[in-house]
Formats: sequence, structure tokens, C-alpha cells
Amino acid sequence: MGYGTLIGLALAAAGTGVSVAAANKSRRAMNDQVSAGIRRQEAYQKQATPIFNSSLEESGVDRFGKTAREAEGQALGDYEQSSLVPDGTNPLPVDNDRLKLQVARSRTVAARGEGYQEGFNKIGLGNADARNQLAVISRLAAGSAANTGILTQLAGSSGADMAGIGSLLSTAGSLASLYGASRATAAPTVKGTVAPTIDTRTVA
Amino acid sequence: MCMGGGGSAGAELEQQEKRRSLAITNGMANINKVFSRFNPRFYQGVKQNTLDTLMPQAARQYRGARKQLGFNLGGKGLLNSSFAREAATDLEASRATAEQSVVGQANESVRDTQRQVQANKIDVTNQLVTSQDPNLAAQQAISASASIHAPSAIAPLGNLFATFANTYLATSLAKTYNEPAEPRISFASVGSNRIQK
Repeated sequence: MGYGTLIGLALAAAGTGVSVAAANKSRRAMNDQVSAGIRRQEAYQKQATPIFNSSLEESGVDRFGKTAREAEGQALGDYEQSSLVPDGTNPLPVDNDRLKLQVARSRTVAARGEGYQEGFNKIGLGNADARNQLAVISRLAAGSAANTGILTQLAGSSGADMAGIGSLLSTAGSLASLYGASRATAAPTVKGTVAPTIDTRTVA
Repeated sequence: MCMGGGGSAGAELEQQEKRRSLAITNGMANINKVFSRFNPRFYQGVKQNTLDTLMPQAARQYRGARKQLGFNLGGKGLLNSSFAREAATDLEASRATAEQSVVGQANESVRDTQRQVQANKIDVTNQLVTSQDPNLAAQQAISASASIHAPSAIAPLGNLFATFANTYLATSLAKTYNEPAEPRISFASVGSNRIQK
């Protein structure tokens, strides 16, 4: 084997080695970026989950009932306090028993209506607030995910730079091999041995 | 932080992400701080403002309806009748309904204000996410929150005693006690031509 051929083979092997190393490094770097990206997404998810769960709880039947009952009690208190105090004594005869019954009935119905309205209002406000917070987290997470894609590509292209060097080495190795093959007869002896003569005609 | 490749461009990108996250976090803190003035005390003020505006209107309507009923009953000599008792009782029941209506409107004005606050907060948050400028977000939050206040123009009440007036003042009273258009003839004393009402 000629000296040039040996150099060529060595270069080619080195090229292949560099390419494999580059590919490994590239893969590791890309994996690292993807892992980091996943960790960031998980962190955002950790922020979002309690907000979502809280909103879900706030929208539940129990919480609705509690809010409605509180608002109902509040409304009944308001009706008592907001009584239109008539100026002077009412000169008209009033059936107080019937009046009490009528007023109590209408107040109960109206207060219940207030309770329901307030219950739905609280749920609506709570959901809107949760949506707002989740939208912010979602936008941050989306930005981070986009960055992960870019960073992963950058990590890949950094490996590709090394792979390029490997490719160049391989090419140089091929050329050197060709050169060595074509110059096989002129190759110097190594450690006193004579390089085998290669019929150049058989080399393309 | 794992760089893992990408060099300075990657580092810059990661820094950008950190800055964006920090800007939005700070911006949200600014927004929440500005909007924290919309607390239960504020909404209680909104409610009281509405009550203070509308309750006197309702009271005026009630007094008007009571006066009119009194005049009508008195004019017909029915002030101590069972009809007067029924009408006066219904008037008081209408008064209670009017009070409930006013309280309902006060509560609705609170809910309207809460929704307005919420909508403004969402708008400012969206602007923050777009601008990523916490100082600008704070300014926008101040501006947006300043536009929210207790409703300055509360719509005047409609006629809360319309049903009562229709029942007793316009129709029932007139119909019931003006009905004997034909004079009733008493046969208590035959031969007498006296007509008794």
C-alpha cells in the first residue's frame, strides 16, 4: 500500500470519525435543547394548573350555591335596610297580616333571583380572570416553545459545522487515496519493506 | 442553563425569553396593583351611590301613589271600606316590590362595573403581552382604571307603581264604584218614587 493511500485512508477514517463525533455532539446538543424546552413548558404548566383548577372549583355547583346563598342573604338584608320610610303616618288602613305575607313572599323570590344572578356573575368574572391569566402563561409558553425550536436548530447547525469538517477530511482522504494509488510504484518503502506494486491500470 | 449549541445567537435568544418573561411578570404586577383599588369597598360605594340616587325617586313615586289613592277613596267616601284596606295593603306590597327593584338595580350596577373593570383589565393585559413593556402597561392600567367609576348617569326609575295604579286608580276603583250607572230602586216603600243610591 502506498504512503498516499495510507494517508488517504487515515484522513478518510478521521473524516468519518469527526462526522460521527459531530453527529453525536449535534444529537446531544439538540436533545439538551429539547429537554430544556420541555422543562420550561412544564414550569409554565405548573403555573397554569392551579389557576385552571381554582377556576374549575369556582365554577362548581358547591361554590355557586354558596355564592348564591350569600347573595340571597345580602339581598334580604338590603330589602330591610332600604325600606322607603313613609313620611308621616299612613292614613290608609292596611291589612298587616296579609301585607307581611305578601312582602315576605316577594322578598324571598326576589332575593333568590339576586342570588342566582350573583352566582353566575361570580362564575363569569372568575372564568374571565382565569382565562386572562392562562392566556398570558400560554403566550409565554408559546414563545418559549418557538425558541426551543430555534435553539434546537441552532444546536443542530453547530454539529453540522463539525460534520462539515469531517466531510472535508473524508473528501481529502479520498483524494489522497486516489493520489496514493496512482503513485503506488513511486511510493517509498516503509521500514525497509517494499510497497506492493499495484497495477495502475486496474485503478480507475 | 443548558446551551448545548447555538453559540451567541442561542444565548441571546434565551436572554430574550428571560427578559420577556420578566417584563410580562412585572407588567402583570403593575396592572394588578393599579386595579387593586376595585375592591369590595369600591363596589359597596357603587351600590350605595345607586341606592342614594334611586331610592328617593321610588319614595316620591310611592308617596304620589298613596296620595292619589287617598284622594280617590276619600272622594268616594270609601276611606274606611274593605276595598280601601285591600287597596292600601296592595300599595304597601307594591312599595316592597319597588324597594326590591331598586336594590336589584343597585346590585346590577355593581355587576356592570365589575364586568367593565374585568374587560379593561383584560385589554391592558393584552396590550402588555404585545408591548412587553411593564411601564407602559402601568400607564395604560392607570388610564383604563381612571375611566371606571361609579355610574355618574344613573337612568331614572320607570313608574314602579304602574301596575298598582292600573289596578286601583284607573280601572278597579272607577269600575267598581262607578258601576251603578242605573239608579237602584228601593221597593221598601211601595208607592214612593224616591230613588236610593
